[in-house]
Amino acid sequence: MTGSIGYTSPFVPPEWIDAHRLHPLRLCPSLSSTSATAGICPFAEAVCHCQELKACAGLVLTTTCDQMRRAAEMLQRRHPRVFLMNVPVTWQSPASTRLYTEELGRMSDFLVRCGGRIPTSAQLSDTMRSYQSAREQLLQSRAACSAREFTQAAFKLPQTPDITPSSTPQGVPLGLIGGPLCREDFYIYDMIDQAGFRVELDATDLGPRAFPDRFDSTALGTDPLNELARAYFSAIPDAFRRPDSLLQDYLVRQSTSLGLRGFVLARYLWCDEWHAQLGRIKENTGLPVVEIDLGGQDRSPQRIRTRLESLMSIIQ
Amino acid sequence: MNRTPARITLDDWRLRFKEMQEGGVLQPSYGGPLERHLQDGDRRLSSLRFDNSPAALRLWNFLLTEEKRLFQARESGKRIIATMKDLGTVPVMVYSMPEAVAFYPDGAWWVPCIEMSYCELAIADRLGIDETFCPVRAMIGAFVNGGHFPRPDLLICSVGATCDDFSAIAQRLAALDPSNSGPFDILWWEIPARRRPEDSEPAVALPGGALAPRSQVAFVQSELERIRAALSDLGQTPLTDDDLSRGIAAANRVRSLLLQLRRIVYSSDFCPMPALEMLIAEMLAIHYCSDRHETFLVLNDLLDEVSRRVHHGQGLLSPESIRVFWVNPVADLRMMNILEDAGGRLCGTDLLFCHAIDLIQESVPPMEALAQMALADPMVGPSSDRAMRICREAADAAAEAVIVSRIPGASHCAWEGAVIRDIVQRLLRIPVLEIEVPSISDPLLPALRTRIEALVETAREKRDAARRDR
Repeated sequence: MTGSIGYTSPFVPPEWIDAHRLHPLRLCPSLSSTSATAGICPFAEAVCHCQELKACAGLVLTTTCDQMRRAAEMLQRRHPRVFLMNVPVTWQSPASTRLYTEELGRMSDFLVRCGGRIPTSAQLSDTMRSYQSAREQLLQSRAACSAREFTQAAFKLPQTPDITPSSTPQGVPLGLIGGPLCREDFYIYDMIDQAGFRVELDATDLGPRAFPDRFDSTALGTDPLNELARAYFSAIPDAFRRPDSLLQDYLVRQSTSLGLRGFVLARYLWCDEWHAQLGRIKENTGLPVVEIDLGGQDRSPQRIRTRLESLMSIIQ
Repeated sequence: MNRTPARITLDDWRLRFKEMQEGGVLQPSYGGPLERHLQDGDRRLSSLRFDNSPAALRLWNFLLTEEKRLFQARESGKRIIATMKDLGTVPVMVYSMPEAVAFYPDGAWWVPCIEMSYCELAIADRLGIDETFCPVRAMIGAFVNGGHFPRPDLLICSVGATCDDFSAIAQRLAALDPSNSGPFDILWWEIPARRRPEDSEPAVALPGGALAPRSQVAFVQSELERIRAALSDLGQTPLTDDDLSRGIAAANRVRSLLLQLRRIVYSSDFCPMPALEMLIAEMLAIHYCSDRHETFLVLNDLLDEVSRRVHHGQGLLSPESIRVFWVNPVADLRMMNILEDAGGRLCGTDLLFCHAIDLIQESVPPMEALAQMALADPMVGPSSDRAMRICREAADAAAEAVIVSRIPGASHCAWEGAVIRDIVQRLLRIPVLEIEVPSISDPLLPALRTRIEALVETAREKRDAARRDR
């Protein structure tokens, strides 16, 4: 394994990078260098200043939001190798899936330029099986660990999760929804636990919502690249997708099957896609939702504590 | 019925209209005194200043009667198609069909400014689309209250390399059912982020000068084919290549007029047409204000007027006015008056839809031409491409300053402004001002005016220094 390839989006398959004999490095940027500029997403800005970039042979960002697209353009002016993957917003037409698959092909050329090697089908299948196995192990250990521990282990995939079972998390079951998180904002998980909840559903970019579908074993053997594209592109629900029915259906299904009592929507200031979901989620699930905006100048925990207390009082 | 060109108030127009009537100036069917629009609720008109020509009156009446025209189109059985975000491409297809009208609900972003009302914005707030979104959020209010346009027969929205606000707002709209007629069913189509072709990739030169990979043009063409199928279905008759070729030719006739108008106005020493009317005229290119034929006549009148003024050496502003290239449309129209009050004048624009003004290729099959046009959208490509085009056009126009008008809450503006500023300052070495203009900017007007005046002064000092050095 040679250089590292940094990425942030769940639509970038780490298996693809790994199969090219490069190390996929999921970035967890820090807010410390961000300027709280009006209109600029703190997460996107944090990616531009991420210290881990210095060690990366390349960086893959996606067009899943306009802010990240613009951040990629900024980075392309400074970083020698930045690949902007066009992830289609529409998902229901065969042309969109084909475009996603073609983008994986284009990414492959980029990865080769970063020192990678084009994998054979067999190498890709093996890598995909290994990641799938690690994800399944992680999912099986979900009940025995906190949501924060789960998320931190997910960053290290495909390393086998090293989770020491702790006492089963207690608390009122809720869903945590949103996009990515900077490292300073992982404390949200702790605050949710302290407020008497447990994150039964982690529907952020770091949780199971953003995992690909299970690979079909037959397709893995015959056409792993297309299977990789299907499992990622066709299956991951997200706020940016049009229509957003994949996400709405997922949340309704999960809230019923997991017995959720409410949702916390955690999104970065200026993130329009997730902000606009607040009304949709309330209407579709019928559950109370509180929104927490992150990354602004006021980062006091008290603000979040108050929102969580209000959610608890609504539920009770 | 010609007079010395001047910018006049709505009150002045009362007298002027009377003179025109007495002088036998004919009005189109939608014509009449401007003040009737004030009485209809367009309260912003009382604080604007307008060009005093019959051509400008026609332009304003045309703009301000669009809502009525849409309801009339519905009553007469025409198909009403709401096209969203793409700013120029889909209307060319729609107007290639018989008995169909396209309009941009996005245009509702001006409703709060023109009516000086927060009504549509309050509806958006209640739906969770608050002031952190761009002023186009008024669109969702307009759909809910149904007062500005009839419920469309088809809604078509481009997504992908578009701003997040619009995409989020359109999705919020999609689930609504304000009149119990069923939710708004949107036909989403993908416009991918335009990228530079890689070395080995076949490339296409787009209108406006950008390059794109042929594969991207082909993809967009396939998306437009989905739209063609939907329009054919709606119209119950196939929309053929011949229809589209005729539609493109008609679109180009309008665009040619607008290009001539811009060339004459922006290159003239005497500024024969004010910035506000030029902004409105350019907006007509996007969807013809729901009447393509009339747009042609309105622009033709404006062109005749400015040609006459230039011929007679007549203008509205001092030849010493600082030549300003304006980037992005403004939510509050008064900014165009303020630019001129502060000693500036427009010498060029990029209002986010250059691709709707450039001529569409007629030498390639029509769907391919439309795909190229859609991909040439300045929003779809890198900000640096947009900045380079701005530099080229600003240099050609001998611009002495650039104003980048940020749209509050728009996901692209916060990033783009810095890129455009850096590139313009580096290549053209002229001052660049970034301002943010909300829909109703009354409390901010003094500060905005001061900043534009400071820009004008800076540019004037630079000009004076250059003259001294010569």
